[in-house]
Amino acid sequence: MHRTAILALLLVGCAAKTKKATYVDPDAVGQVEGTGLEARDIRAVSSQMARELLGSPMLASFEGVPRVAVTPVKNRTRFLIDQEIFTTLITDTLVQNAAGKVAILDRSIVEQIMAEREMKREGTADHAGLKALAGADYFLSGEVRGLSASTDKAQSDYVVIRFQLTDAETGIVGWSNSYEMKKEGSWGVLYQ
Amino acid sequence: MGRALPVKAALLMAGLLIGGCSWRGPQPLEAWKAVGSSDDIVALDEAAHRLVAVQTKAQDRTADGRLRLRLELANLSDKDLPVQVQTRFRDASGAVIGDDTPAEMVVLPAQGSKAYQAISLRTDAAAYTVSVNTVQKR
Repeated sequence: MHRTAILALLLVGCAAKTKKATYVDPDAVGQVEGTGLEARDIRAVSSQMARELLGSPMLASFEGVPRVAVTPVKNRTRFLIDQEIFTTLITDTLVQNAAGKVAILDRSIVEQIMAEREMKREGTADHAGLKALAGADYFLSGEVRGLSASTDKAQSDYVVIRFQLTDAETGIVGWSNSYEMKKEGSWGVLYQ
Repeated sequence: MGRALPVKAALLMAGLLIGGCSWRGPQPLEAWKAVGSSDDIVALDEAAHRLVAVQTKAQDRTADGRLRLRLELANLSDKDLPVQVQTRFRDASGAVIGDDTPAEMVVLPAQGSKAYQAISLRTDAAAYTVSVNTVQKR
């Protein structure tokens, strides 16, 4: 009985010390940080790129509404990053704030679109009017590159995140922008 | 009784000193004389208010009519100073329009300055509030 009471007290004590997860500002400097890309970097990059892209002369001088296909970002750093985060945030920003100025093409579900088109044309599915598949005027592509240095105690990482807008007909790069960051710190944070 | 008054005075003095040093933000950043008022650029903490100054400030419109703000932020200390800078765009009446930039990390070099730029997403942005805070871990 006595032993059970002690065990119960220990369990309660341990439970009380467990820190509950809390919501934090994604822009804040957190307690778990390394030398890699953090949430605030991704948010800052995506916002900056979307804002500057809208003002690019290539899009501004386009007659009509330019169609932009956003391609997956290539990650060439040592960090494990979900590259789609960048394109998701940029696409959201452009769709919400640039309606009528830029049309974003979704190439990630092109197989589903083709299957749906086929069903409509075969008469299996009804439709409210057949349309041509929208072609891209521009490709928005991006890549993340890094340069790392380390000792047995410390780590340094220089990361460049670059986006560019390429004419889908000519291949000419009409706009590009880079975001750079360098961080130094100790080992011990695993990005996943 | 004779001792009570000096003790009270000392306590009052200590309270005033502590109260005087406490941070009551946000407060406008110090602007260099040539820049003029910078009430639209505020420091969110005492260190930012003490160590960061607005060196130059300019605003214009992009070709598609969006508000663009350009700042030169100076570090008055003799150490590199990482700060977070965020811009909240407002319409002509001063109301928020849901166009906030994420807080961008800017490392101001010791006794030097760095440029910061923010472009609104919307053409109805006519004013802004820029907030600057030093980086503190939670």
